[in-house]
Formats: sequence, C-alpha cells, structure tokens
Amino acid sequence: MSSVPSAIVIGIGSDHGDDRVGWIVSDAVEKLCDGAIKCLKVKTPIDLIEWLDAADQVHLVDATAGVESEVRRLRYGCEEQRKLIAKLPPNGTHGFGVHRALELAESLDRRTDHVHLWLVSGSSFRPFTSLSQSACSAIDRCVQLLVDELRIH
Amino acid sequence: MSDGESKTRSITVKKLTRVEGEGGLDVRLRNGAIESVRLSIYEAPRFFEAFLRGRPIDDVPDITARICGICPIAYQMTSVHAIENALKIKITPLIRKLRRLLYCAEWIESHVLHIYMLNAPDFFHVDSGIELAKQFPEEVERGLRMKQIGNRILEVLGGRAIHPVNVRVGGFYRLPARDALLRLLPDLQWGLEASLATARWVAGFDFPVFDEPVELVALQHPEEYPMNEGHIASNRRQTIKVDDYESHFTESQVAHSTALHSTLDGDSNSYFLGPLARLTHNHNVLFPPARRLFDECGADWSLHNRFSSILARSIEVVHAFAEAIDSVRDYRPDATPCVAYSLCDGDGVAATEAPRGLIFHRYHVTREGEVAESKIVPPTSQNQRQIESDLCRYLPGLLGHEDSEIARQCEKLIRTYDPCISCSTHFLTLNWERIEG
Repeated sequence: MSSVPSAIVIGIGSDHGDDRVGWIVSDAVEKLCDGAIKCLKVKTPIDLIEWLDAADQVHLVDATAGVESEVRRLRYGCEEQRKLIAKLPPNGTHGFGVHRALELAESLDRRTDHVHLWLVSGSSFRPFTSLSQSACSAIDRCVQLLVDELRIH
Repeated sequence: MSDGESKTRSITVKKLTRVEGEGGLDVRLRNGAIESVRLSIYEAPRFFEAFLRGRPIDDVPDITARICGICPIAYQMTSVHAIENALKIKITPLIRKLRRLLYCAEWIESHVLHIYMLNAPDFFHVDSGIELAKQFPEEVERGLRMKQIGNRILEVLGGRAIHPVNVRVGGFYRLPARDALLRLLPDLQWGLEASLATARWVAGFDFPVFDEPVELVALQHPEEYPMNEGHIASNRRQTIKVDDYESHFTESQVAHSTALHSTLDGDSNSYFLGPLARLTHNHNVLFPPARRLFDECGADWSLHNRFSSILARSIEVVHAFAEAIDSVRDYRPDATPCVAYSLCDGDGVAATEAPRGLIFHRYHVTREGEVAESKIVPPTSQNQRQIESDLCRYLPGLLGHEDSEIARQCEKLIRTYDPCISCSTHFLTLNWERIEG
C-alpha cells in the first residue's frame, strides 16, 4: 500500500472578486471530505511546486475568464490539454501562471503528469469585488464534480 | 523619403517580463539622441485610499494587505504603525519584535522570488527561471525551499500563508505558541546556510556596470536594520523625520502615467529606494552573518551600481534569516497579544521598508474609530522617476545595437529595481520611436 495520499486539492487564488474561487472550492472540498483529503490554498502558482510529490493525484482549482462551460477539467499529462493550459493567461504574480510553474517543476525533474487543473468560470477579478453570481454557481458544480472524482479514487 | 522629412520607426516589445504586474515604456529618439523616456504605470487612481474612507480602523490591516499580493506585510505594518501613532499607542517590545519577524518572512519570500525567478536569469542570458533551473537545478531548488520557509513563518505568525490575518492595531489577535515558532528553527537554520550560499553564488555573477551617481533614500536606525522604524536618510541631504515626510516629499501628476511621481525637497531630481539604499545607510547594523558577508564583498562592489541590487537583496535575505533565528530563540509569549487603547481624533504617519523600498502611510482617524482620510505612497511609484532617469542615461551606450537587443537591455535594467507594478498597474509595451531628419 502506498504511503503517499491518493489525492491533494490545491486552490489557487486571491481575495479579489472571482479569484477567490480556488480557495472556496478547496475549503468546501475539505469540509465535505471530512478532512480525509488534504486541501490547501496558495496565492501564487509557484507555491504549488512543493506539493507535487505529496499525492498520486494533484487537483488544482483556479478561476479564469473565457471558459466555455462553468467548469472545465484539464489534465496536464495529456498533450492536447497541456497546450490549452499553456494558453491560459498568466494571472500569477510575475507572469508565473500554472503552466509556467509546472514547466519549472519539470525542469527540476518533478512529476506533473498526475496534475489535473479544474478551471472554474469567472468574470470579475477586481479588488474588493464580491463573487459574481455565475462564479457562485460554478463553484457548486466544481465542488460536486471534484468530490465525486475523489470518492471514485 | 525626401530631405527634411522625419522618419519614424516604431519598435514594440510585447511584454516587460519578469516583473510583478505590468508596465509600459516609451522611448523617443530624434536624430540618434534620446529625446524622452517615459515609464507608464497605470495606477488605479488612489482606489485604496478612497476605499478606506469611513472604514473602521480594525479593518485597515486586512484591507491594506490586499493592495499587494507580494508585499501584504509591508502595507499592514505601515498602516498599523501609522494608526497607532495617530492614537498614541505604544506597543510592547514583544509585539515590536514579532512584527519584525513578520517582515523578515516577507523579505525572504519577496527577495528570494526576485533573485531566482526574475533577476538571476538575466545574468545567464536566459529568458526565465525555467531555463535557469535547467542550468542550475540545485540553486533553484534551494531558492524554492527558502521561499517556502518564508511562507511557513507567515503561516505561523500571520495566521495564514496566503493572507496575513493576525495583525491588528495595537498588536496581534493572538500570539503563537512558543513551540510553534521553535519548530521552524531547523528550517531557519538551513535557510541561513542556504542564503549564505545564495549570496556567494550571486557575488560571483558577472555584473554589468551602471553606477551613475544617485540619491539613495531609506530608513535609517541607529541600532537595527530598519524595517518598521527609523528616520529617513539620504546620501545627499540631512536626515528627515518620518513625521515631516510630506513637507519634503511631493507627489505630482505626469501626463503619461496615473501613478504619481515623487520628488524630494522640490528637487527636480529623482531618488532611489530599495536594498542598495538600505545597505548604504545601515550596513553597520546588519546581523553578524550578513555584516560579514557585506564586508567580504569588499570595496569592489558599488552600492550605486543598479545591477548589484541582486547582491544587496541576497545580503538582506541572510540578515532576515539570522534575525528570524534570533527572534524565534528569544521568543517568550506573554499574555498580551495586543495593547489596550482609546479612540480619539488623530493624525498619524508611518514609514516602513517594504522589500522594494520605503513605503509611507498617513491616516486621519476619528473618535468613532474610523478612517477619515488616508494617503498611501508605495515604493515603486517613488522609484518611477529614477527608472526613467536611469534609462535616459543608460540608453545612449546601447544605441548601436539592434532594437530588440536595446529593448532587452532596458528590461534588464528595470528588473534590477524589482518594480512591483501590480500595487498599481495595467498594461505593458515597450515602444520605440526613432525620428530622423
């Protein structure tokens, strides 16, 4: 039996508008899974690198504009989906978005094929704005999908 | 094109990369000479100052921490100290020391990220920390681990790594248990060794030289490396009390940027904030490991050479780890996370040393415990004028190169300032306009 946990959930975000989505999803999943799944929050994608070896599956949750559906799941280990991830705007500080952080991880011989990125539709990212209505709905959907996924595995 | 007509050529660089946020730079050359250099920082005009109006003072640390994703502590510290000055609150030595520990954590995080991910790549002619990691994987791993340690301190003392919630007017909401801080010691000791290794690695870089005379401004303190307290020192004029900041420093609007330009004592010249300035005025009070390192560097390195900023940051990281170890070892929590205070009408100012340089806040608070007015002056907007001035002097030596190379060299110079343009900011483009004839 592996001593490495099967999954970890990392919410990426900030306190600004819909950028809270990743953190809210992380908190919600932790609560629904009764602490059985490690859930944490980071504000810069570069901070996720230290957690890549922490589990067999790494689920990142981040809000972004321009997602076709409420929630879209992309797997970094899939070549086509990685290309989509690479096109996401680098909303992290210093232009270091999720893709760049994972590229850096690969440069350091860290595993990334087990990373899943859950993109949640957001529309407003301005400071001190509330969550948009659409983001609230998308959060619920994302939490449900993610919890179902975690329970399967 | 006929004689007498001007030729204009535009060169656009899509992005000023590896800075916090975004910014724009316009350079105009006429007949081969620099006509103007304009750095455009589009600041959400004083959004936060307006937002704070009418807010309870207890909300201020939380709100100001959101102004900058990289430097939340700098904004929190400056705001609470200014409000405490308005209310004549004297914090305890323990609170004072813990606040410095918080600042150490932020310097570690911010400086290490800049050193490894943003600035070091320039010295190896690579475009990113990713490519640097291919050449120097151990060094980059070292940097990432050092940054993580900064996160840990923030988590224990600040309440959350992602956003510090434990700071309040008068002190903290709760004091960490001694064990919680002591558990950080092994990592801090590792971090000290790692920071020394980092500084020695950086000291071996091949530094371009751009050491035009400059006015270096930073807080100065007789007994400690300045973070939250001190007077304002300059290498060109008498020291200035923080209370008198607004009598000496003036902000003015410029047409090309919504971030205000700062000048000092009506002097049209710019001034330079940040690690080089801090070291200039305070190297004698560095913690011993950092002081020894500073002395090791010897007379060879110039505190005016903008490209040495990365070495200055490296030395400050050593100091931060050394001071953090000292603070953690000495820590004995008492029953007072926060001092009691009474509300009154009052005005208070404070200046602290954010990773990028001196930051100033002023607050007028009411007896109802609300903010009536505030003023926030970040370091990057103060440095804006200096960046433009430096580019004006740096560019002539580059004009023989291809435009893309010139743009690249300008970016490298700007990066040495570690501009935190997202405390404001919007777009970025480097536009060249050459007019000939």
